[in-house]
Amino acid sequence: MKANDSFLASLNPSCKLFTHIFVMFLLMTISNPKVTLFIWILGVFVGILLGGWRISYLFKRLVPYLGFSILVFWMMAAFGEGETTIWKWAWFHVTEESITNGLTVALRMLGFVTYGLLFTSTTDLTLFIMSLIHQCKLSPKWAYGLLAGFRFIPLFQSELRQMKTAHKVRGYKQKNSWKAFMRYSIPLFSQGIRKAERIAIAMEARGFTGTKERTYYQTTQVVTKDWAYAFLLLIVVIALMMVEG
Amino acid sequence: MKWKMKEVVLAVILSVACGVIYLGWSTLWIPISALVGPVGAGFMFGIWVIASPIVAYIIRKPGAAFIAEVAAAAVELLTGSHFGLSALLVGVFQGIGSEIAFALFRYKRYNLFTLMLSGALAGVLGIVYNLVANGFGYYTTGVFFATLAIHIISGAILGGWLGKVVVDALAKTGVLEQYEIMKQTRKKGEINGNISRM
Repeated sequence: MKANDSFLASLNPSCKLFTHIFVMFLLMTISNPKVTLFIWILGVFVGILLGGWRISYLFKRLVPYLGFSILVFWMMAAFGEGETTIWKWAWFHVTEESITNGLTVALRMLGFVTYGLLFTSTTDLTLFIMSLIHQCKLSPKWAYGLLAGFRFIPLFQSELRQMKTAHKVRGYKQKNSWKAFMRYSIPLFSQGIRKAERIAIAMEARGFTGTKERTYYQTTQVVTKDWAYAFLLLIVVIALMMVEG
Repeated sequence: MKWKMKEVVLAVILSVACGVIYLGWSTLWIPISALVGPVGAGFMFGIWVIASPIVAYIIRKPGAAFIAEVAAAAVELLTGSHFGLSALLVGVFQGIGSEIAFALFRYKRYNLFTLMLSGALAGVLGIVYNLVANGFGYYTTGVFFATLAIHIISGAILGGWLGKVVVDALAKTGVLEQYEIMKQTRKKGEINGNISRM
């Protein structure tokens, strides 16, 4: 997770996260597909205007999710409750009501993804953790533990690749997937545990105690523009709900 | 009960590993769910709650199950889940569910039963979230209850039971000697040893 140099990237991460989660809660209360669509479009526009999304980026990231939301729509339409039957085949049963509900839920999911992407594509991970310490009063012990842990995401991936190659070189052929799961997951986990222990000792050896009385290289604050963004976004969303609902 | 630094890092790193698994599992889940619907795809649910039983079983502290699930869900969000912010919130719900199972026994019992209960309760709370956010209430009553039942069973087996199998296999490799799980096993072993000597 890296930040770009857009307006959204300059906002306080926690403040941004809570604003987006609030928008999500509002989305949950809406059962009208049209309003949901407008709120989703609002998210896309915020991304383009304030989040520095390029059209190519938009296509690359949102189109796969669009496919997913079509599947969600299908699930709700085919397995949902309704009276007026449109189409029936085997265990699929499509009705007018289920189509409306399907649209709402699919667009809502798309909204969740878009507002999530608005956050992840414009937030620097270190700053986010720092803001959790300063604004959300997360204990430094957990915050730095999280930072150390997140560094492991690429490490796990490269280790898995290495292990697969090593097995291949030695002529191992995956016969059943259950055995393969245990074969790869146990070394992955046990390596992770060993490294966790070493990291913890290294941190303590350098005088890290995890207490709140410490100094920080980077600090984060909530300033006027954070409040302005939060209020403006929420006001626009609520206005959309009022006008159409 | 204070968390030691190495327990904190261990919990986070195991959650990260689980989060990476969750992400892969989410990708697998999509095509299956479209074909067989929520009932059929529900059997895959259990993997998404495996972080709680694994971490709670090793560390055995209040809050371990909740923290593990939330951290794993956060990793799924940060690495680009197609559930978006939803992945994080459902993690909070499932985490509360698994935590309840251990809290019911006052964080004293960590056996197959409590681990499977924790997976099952995570399934229940997961459905509660889906009811609120993903319109599970729109499904026909039959479909809804079948989904609930399958989530509970899947959570208990793929979450609780599989979590125990993985941790027991890890314990055999000897990497867990310094953690609560092996300390308690050794204590139990000493008592048994004394009895047999007597």
